[in-house]
Amino acid sequence: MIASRFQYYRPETLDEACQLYMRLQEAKKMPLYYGGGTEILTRARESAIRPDAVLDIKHIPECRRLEMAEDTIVFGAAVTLDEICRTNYWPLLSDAAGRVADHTTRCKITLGGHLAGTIPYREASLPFMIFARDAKITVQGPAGPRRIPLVQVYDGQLHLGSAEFVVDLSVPRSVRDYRGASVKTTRIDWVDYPLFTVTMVRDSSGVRAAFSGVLADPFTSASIDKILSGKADLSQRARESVAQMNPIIDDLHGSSAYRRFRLTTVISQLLQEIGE
Amino acid sequence: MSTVGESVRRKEAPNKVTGRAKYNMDMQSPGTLFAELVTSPHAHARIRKIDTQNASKMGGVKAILTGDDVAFLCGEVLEDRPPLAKGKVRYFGEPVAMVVATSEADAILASLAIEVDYEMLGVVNSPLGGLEKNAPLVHERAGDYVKAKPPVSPESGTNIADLAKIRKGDMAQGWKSASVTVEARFSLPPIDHAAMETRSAKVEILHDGRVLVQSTTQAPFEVQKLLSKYFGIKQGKVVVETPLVGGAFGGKATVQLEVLAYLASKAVDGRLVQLVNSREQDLATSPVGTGLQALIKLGADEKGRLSAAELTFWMDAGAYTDSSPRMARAIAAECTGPYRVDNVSCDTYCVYTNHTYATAYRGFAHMPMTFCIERAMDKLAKQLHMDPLQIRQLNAIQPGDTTPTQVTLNLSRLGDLRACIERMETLLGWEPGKAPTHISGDLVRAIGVSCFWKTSSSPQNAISGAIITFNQEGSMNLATGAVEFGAGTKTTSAQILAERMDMSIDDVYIHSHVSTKVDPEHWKTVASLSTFMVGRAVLDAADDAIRQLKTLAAVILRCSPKDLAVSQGRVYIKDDPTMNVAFKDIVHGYQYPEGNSIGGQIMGRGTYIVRHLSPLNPEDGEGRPGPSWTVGCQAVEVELNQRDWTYRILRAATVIDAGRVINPKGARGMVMGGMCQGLGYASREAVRHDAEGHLLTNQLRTYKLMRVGEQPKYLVDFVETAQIDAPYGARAVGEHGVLGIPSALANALSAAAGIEIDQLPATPEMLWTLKTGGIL
Repeated sequence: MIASRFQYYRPETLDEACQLYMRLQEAKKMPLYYGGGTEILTRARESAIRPDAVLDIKHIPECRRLEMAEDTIVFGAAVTLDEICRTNYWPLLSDAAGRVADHTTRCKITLGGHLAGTIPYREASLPFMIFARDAKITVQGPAGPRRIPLVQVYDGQLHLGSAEFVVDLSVPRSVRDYRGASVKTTRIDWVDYPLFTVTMVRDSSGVRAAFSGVLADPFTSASIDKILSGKADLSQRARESVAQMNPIIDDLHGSSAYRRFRLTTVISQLLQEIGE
Repeated sequence: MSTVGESVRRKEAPNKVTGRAKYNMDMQSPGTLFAELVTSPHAHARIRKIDTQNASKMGGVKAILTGDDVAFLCGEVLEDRPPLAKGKVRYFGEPVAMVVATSEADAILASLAIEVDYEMLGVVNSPLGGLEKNAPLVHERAGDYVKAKPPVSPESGTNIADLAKIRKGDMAQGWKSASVTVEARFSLPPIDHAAMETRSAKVEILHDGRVLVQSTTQAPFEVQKLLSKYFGIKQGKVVVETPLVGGAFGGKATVQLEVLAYLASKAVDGRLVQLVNSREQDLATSPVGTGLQALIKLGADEKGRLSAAELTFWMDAGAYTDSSPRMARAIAAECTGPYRVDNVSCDTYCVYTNHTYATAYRGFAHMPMTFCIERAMDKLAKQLHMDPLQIRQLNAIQPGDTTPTQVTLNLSRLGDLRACIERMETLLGWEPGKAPTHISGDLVRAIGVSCFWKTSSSPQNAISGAIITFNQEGSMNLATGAVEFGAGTKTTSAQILAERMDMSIDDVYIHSHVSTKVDPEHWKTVASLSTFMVGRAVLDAADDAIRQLKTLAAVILRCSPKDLAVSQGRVYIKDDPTMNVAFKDIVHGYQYPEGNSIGGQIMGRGTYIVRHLSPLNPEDGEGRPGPSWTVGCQAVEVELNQRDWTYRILRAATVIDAGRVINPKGARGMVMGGMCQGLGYASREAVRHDAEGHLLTNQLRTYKLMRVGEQPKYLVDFVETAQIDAPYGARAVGEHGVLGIPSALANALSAAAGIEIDQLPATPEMLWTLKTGGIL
């Protein structure tokens, strides 16, 4: 059970949420923005965190947007990974998000919580990282919402100011035109933390890839993209790109040597899949 | 009307599948206090100081206990375990202090405020590590501990808690006859029971001196005896009740939380206190299944006939012995696997380590033991260029052969392993000598096989009982002391009763919980012995009831009791069934038309005590460990991807000599569940520690179990060689589905990958490492 008491708030507007957060902070209460709750509840259960208040942003209409318009696709921060998969507005994102945790949990995990949480894999961010030049994020802060390029606040970790929270992420509709694929590998189980996840797309200028579970945080790399877009045969490109990654995670799920081996096979498989 | 051999629905099924069945923590009483444990974050450390001052001032706190408040040691065989750590901690998760508070939240918050100052000690992280020259000592003076139930032989100044020996035949002769030998080392991790329901206990000490216990135990009568012993209370005053249990697998046969809950209640004037394991505590604090290291040497003649077996097993007993000494003897007694070997030398060591202590796990250490033997058999077959099933068929133990403990076997005691192997060949469509098959690209398919045997290691005086009462309508109530944890024990007893009475099983009512106050003792619901022991007691009780029914009916029908038989709720004259009397007219006494009554209530009583068992001789192991054996053959088919070393498990098969199958669907389910558990252990489950002995797998996030959807196709078949002294010939089958599966999977993967898998779990990473040396 969760032993420590906390207050539950359900703000209905962006400003109300932010103001409430600041008031609680002033009153020396530790507040947390609350999405699906999968991390807050499980970590509070272990007494690893003891928030004084949670602010449930799932009932703010702007956070619940899930729309494909003529030129953009918008994913609200409080949309669940399962909703993203079921609507399937961006198949590449569905691929990456659809392998996070298990189905029951994906029905709870929200996109915003997934990016802001402490579990380091954040696989659903990989497609956005690949399209970093075009992806936008809306952040609500004390001065109101601002829509900015994703790269300004997200580099595998989310860097927000105090009292700020994610309202939505958006990408141009044209991201759907690229050929891409995402592969998650695990130690053995279908449902487990990843050994690593790789998402890859190809456009006229070449191959772009994003990785999770390899280094401490999800990442993209211009030099790796350059190797992947090169002319060498697929397995050589895979080997050379993996050689760029350091230090590779070594943990309960797999050693760094094994991750390196599997990365090499998965990268060449993905290159083939996207038509290289 | 026949019930035995029919797939009857379990009595408790409708309530279980609709969520209405009640487990221990589903029943809550107002005014209950809550106990919470503070557990050790270190594997081995001296306790310098426990500061409870801040915690004791917190809201709702009623009492705080530490090791200083408890003056005795626990242990089923060897009394080596303080209920709360005293002086030092010996494993990650060991209880160090306990808070009792008015709410669960208050108890948890106070437990977080207790500060313990530790001084780190070196750790023993494996059994062989514990035997190294300068290994830290887990127990400084193990030789001084009280031996509650010998044999057990701890050696002070070492980490050896016990040694069980087998010496049979003449080893020199055995090696002389051997033209081929194999030698292999094995290393298998501990396993967790991971039952769906975590362990819990509730204790209340009444002012009249009675102690009321509700627990998730498989052994309510053992809880009663141990609480009586530890706390000097008359046994009759300790009442232990066990409702339906949500999976047990041996892990609930040990007594741990009950002792702590008693101490907690005692500290608060006997008020009702509940102590419930969180999943993390269930994984870290409560006992696990043993890990095992082994060195196996087998010798065989040029035809493949085994001539010598020299075996050393090192069990990972963990920090305390619990039932490990008994498991060491179980390993010793069956150390050759189900094969005839005339010359055997086996040493089984229980080694103390700084791991969570071990207790029974489905198969009582036979699963890891079988892994070592069955992998060695495949290595032997490979050397001899023999088919793996053929070498097993050739060496299969037969009536007239002797076991490692020198018991001479007959068909009734043993069953028919050769028939099981033959049936398996048919079931699989086995092609002898067939190499792994390339399917396409990088995919290779291979089948691995193994055989197993197991007897039930019970005390030589284990008892069981049954009481039958009748409802006026003529239906029966059956009381037994066996716990229902999902094995269908209660339904099986009801089937046996219905069969003997020749009545519908719908007219037999069971109660799903056990109370030591009203139910006749059944030793423990372990060792796959319930069908046999409870079944014998039920038959005895049924015969007792039938005798009474006939005696009364003979008066009414004016004949000799010998002229009578029972069927369909009536007692009738054998040669003229039209002359009969209904149960409903006699079970509560018979009333003559004019009003006079005779007879009174009919109640059947039945008992059983195991017979002819003897302890194993400490020098050579001679002795009789169990009433009978169950043998079987198993197989696993895999499809391996030789590019990335991932694999799929396609089929898993078991043929088991069940003696007589009492409930076919029930038995199949039981065997399939066993196979699933065995595949889990073989492929992913493992209790894992870091170099300092910290448990890394204390959540189901990291302790991985098979999930629904990951199961292969299961094939189950039975051979039926009656065990003459068992109810309707039924042999023990409860645990056995698990026994040979890990070795069969490792044999399949070893063949498919061209490597030797001598450790578990067999993850793709391990296959890759073995195949490539871990070099890209």
